[in-house]
Amino acid sequence: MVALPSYVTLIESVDSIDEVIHQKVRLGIMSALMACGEADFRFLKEALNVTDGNLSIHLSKLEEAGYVLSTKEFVRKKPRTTYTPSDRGREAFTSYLGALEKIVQSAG
Amino acid sequence: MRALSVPLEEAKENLRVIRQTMERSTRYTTLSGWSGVLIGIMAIACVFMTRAQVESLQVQHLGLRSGILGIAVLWMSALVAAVAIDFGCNKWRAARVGKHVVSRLGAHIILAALPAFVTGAVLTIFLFENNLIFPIWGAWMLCYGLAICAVGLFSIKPVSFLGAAFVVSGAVTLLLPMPYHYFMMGLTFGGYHIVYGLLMARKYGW
Repeated sequence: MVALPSYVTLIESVDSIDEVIHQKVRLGIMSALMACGEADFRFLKEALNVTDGNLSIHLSKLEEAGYVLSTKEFVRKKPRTTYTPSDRGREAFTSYLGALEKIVQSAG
Repeated sequence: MRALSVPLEEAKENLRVIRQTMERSTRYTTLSGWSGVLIGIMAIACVFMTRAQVESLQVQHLGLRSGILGIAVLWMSALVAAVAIDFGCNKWRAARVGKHVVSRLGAHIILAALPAFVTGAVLTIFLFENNLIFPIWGAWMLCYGLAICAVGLFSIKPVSFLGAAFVVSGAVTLLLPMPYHYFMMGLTFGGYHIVYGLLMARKYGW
């Protein structure tokens, strides 16, 4: 039987889960960017093993939410987009990580 | 209770995804194809120079021991040059892909490879002092392979395969007669590096 305080913590933690980050590909993008600090499209695609279209959609969602910043440039006449986590994105990821850890801890 | 177990399992799974993605993302990915090719060419040149030195010693009826110091200096210089080439090429490539070649991960890689290099140096001195010149080439391949295997733990799979290839080739070299050792040195330090560099360039760009 789960003690009442742990039960309440569990419910609160589940409720506080950020739905923008709480998706497998977007979670992977944020994890990779938090680890590297900066990555381009090709690196993210290889690291996460997803298709171009799938990655683009989820990067757009993260950009719309203000969690990821993109920089477009040309390298040897080829376009290259680099992504970095914004301050808001870093805070959101840290909070998300905290919520996950609380869920695991509250289960004993 | 069943409903509460769902977010728990999902939380554990997501923590696992985060950990794996972060590990995968921090692997050493600034490897340059040019580095492998240039090091391979330099190694082949060293093999020819070594063989010329040995033949010169034989013409003068001098044993290999009398010239091994010069040969060791040649290959130690080649190792230092190889590290410099590798660092320079990777730094050039790192700037192109927006990363830093000198990082905490890079420091871990150096520490991982160091024991094998130190072992190689100690073995060389021991074998030379005990007049056991014959196994030196195989020992170098084995130690270099172990160093590369250690680096491979922080990097992509082809690096581990390169290390394993050196280890196996070193073991094979120790079983072969001396005249074949030059061929094995050229094949491993030369050929393996060139092939590796070309594969890296093809997969990740120059």
